[in-house]
Amino acid sequence: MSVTNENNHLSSKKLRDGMIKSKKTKAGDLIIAGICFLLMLLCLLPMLHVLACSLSSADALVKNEVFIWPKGWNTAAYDTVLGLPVPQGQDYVPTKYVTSMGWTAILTVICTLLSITLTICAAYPLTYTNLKGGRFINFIILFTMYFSAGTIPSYLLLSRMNMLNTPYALIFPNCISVFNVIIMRSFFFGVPDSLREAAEIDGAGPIRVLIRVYLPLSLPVIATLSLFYAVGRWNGFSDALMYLKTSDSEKYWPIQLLLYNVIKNSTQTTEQAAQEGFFANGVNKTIQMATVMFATVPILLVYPWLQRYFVTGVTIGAVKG
Amino acid sequence: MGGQMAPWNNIKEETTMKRILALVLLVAMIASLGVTTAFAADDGFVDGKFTETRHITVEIYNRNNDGGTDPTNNVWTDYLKQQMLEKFNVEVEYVSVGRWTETDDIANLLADHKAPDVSYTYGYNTIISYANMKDANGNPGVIDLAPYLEEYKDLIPDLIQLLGGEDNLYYDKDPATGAVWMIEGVRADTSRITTFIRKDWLDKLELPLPTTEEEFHAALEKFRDNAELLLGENADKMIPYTTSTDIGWRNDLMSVSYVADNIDDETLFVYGYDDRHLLYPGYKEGIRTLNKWYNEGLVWKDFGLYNDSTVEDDNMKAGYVGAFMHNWDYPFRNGDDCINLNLQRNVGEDAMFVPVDCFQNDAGVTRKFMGAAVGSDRKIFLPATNTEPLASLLYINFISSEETIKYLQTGLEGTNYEMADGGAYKILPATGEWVKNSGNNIDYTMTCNGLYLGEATGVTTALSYPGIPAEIVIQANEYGKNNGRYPKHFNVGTIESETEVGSSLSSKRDELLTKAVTASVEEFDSVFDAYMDDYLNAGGQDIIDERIEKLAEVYGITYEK
Repeated sequence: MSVTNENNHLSSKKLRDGMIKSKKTKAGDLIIAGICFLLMLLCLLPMLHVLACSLSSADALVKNEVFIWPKGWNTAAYDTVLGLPVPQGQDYVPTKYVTSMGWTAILTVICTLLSITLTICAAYPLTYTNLKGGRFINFIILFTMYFSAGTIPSYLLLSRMNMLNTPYALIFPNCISVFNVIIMRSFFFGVPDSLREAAEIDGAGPIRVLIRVYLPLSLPVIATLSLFYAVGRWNGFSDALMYLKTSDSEKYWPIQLLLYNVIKNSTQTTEQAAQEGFFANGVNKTIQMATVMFATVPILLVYPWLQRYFVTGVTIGAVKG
Repeated sequence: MGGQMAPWNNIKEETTMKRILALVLLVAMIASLGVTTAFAADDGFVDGKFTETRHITVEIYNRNNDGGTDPTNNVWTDYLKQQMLEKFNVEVEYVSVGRWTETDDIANLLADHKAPDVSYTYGYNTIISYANMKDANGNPGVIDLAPYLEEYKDLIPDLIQLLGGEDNLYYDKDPATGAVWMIEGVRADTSRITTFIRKDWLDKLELPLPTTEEEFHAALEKFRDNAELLLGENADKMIPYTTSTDIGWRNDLMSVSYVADNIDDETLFVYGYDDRHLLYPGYKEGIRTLNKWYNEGLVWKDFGLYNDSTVEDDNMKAGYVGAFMHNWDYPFRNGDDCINLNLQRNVGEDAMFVPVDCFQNDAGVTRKFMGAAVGSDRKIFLPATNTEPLASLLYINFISSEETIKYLQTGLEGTNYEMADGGAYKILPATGEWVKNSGNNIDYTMTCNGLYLGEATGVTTALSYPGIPAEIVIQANEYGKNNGRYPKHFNVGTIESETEVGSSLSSKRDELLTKAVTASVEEFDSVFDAYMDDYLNAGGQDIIDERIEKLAEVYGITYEK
């Protein structure tokens, strides 16, 4: 199938126009395509396996008969995760997974907006070469990339700021990434000074220049960094694990922390079992798999929306060269 | 500053006086700070009850299991709170700490001066490091319990009884300073590891239950050679004997059967750092035998690839496994999803794992090296921020009483259990508010792990595994501890070199054993020795040396290597 496509492609207009490829290149393309295909399988197969497991019967899983196609079709695990079916005459009561999913989505949006705003605010002034103390500011920002305080001091800081067991502990401590600030700054450097100067001659102040000149030209990098932030927040759970401890704060647990608990309670190591003298009752494997799918799919859906910006990002860079 | 009343000299004198006064006050303040954690008897405690309500916070593990309840507020905590208030006028508040992050969480809370008044952890080192960490006034981070235990001995009889005597109250007493930083919890059932084998396979091949290593080995060979007969089309999936990367646990009985029966207590102590017995003289020969079995195709060839038990469990449940060693109740645990019941559903009614006891040592005894009933479970301590040591001790005593433990372990009749023959408590799977978040509620019975129901313990244990014949459960429990040898407690205080290695040595041990078992027979010695050198260089030797030194220092025993 892919070979035919390749042939069609080769016999296209470009080929007739004289861009004749040598046999060597053709083989090279095939090899590269093959490698890409294998890499794609490497990413896709585990996902498909988890999906198939989540839709299979427990017995088929035990016998290790499921690979990428479900065996003993069974959606009970999803019913459990989603709290379905709703008993007749009763209202739907969302499970903790559903509630947490909603909260995680809200949290991700808040964090992404905040992070990207702060990243822009941090990166933009650094593009001004005449910024007073610019080198020093640069230094202290970079310093935090190499040195951090460690777990207990961070915990104490949050405790002193009364942020423990509040949703703020998930928002502020990691709301800015120095690495992303540097990427953003580098991208801003790529915007020609002449554009800024032109705007300044027209009477625009630094903020107007940022909003009217820099930001519209920086959509690709904003989209990319937003995705980094969003995925980071969506997949992050160690902060919640460390900082949200009371029963009251459990409602702020992100979905990944619930997933962590499901897996942790189900796959104790012998080390832990020896410590306690027994194994705790775990959660059915199909439910584990269904929870993984449930927690992963939403963030995957974000990629296609942002993909066009990645492509634009590459081309813009190329033209500016 | 009235003119004539205050000549220059007087002013000078006044200033000097002020300075002296300030100095005296400062010294007094420092001194008073210095004794804040020192012992002072509580005079608000009259006739077994506080005159004014006291408030304490108590740690509780949060497992966050599906269908579980809020560990800080449920029917069990209600009971404990109400009882403590009624009996002693003490108000109890629970503080949850993640079960799987407990040592980190406790370290954070201690650093933040917010650790619960009564805290517990599996991490001995966490307590010791905070005991050694002094604040600006030289006070340790946890309370030295020695004076309190001495003064209030009569108020904690249940704790002393549970620990099996007053000596165990001072189990961790520092031999040099006399400080007691923690109270040990009790492992009520010391049964540990049992060997299991497929009874239906033995029957099919007309083999008896093995009683010696030779018979066990012969049975494994038969399983391997009759895969076709036993598994039909799945013959290629045959695993005569399965194990995991934690070979120290999962092959323990066979490994230690190579340790001489007359080994002395001192040797067990000197080489006893590793709870998997790796350093015991003779242990290597047990691993050599397993290596031989591995190369004969008797051991699961992929065991080294997985670090959790899911795949291995599935192999057992699907019926591909012939024998294994594990926690004594491993094939029965987990209700309907336990290994034996899965096996019956997947293979047939007669398919099941039964316990055997066949690894004899040089004296012909199936010796097991046990964990001590006291000293190997959770440790309870009071952080320096605790201002209610007496109320805290009363709480610890209260949850150690037979009555409290019985209530927490059994619960409500008709909901959590029903009475069965022989006075046994038949535990029912409860749901809703009466659910237990941890097995036997061990998170609440913090001084006691394992059923503690007096005479009803044995019969109740037998009924704790629905669907499993009681005699098999009793047998497995028995085989997990019969001929057990309990380590003699040499109280030498903290062994510094042990606090430094953390968990690095246990992962080195697992690597050593995995590599040694999977090596070829010819290379076994070189692989085992090379990894053992690495283990010893990474801190193992320092621990052995320090244990020898301490033995001489505290007990005056000169140990010859």
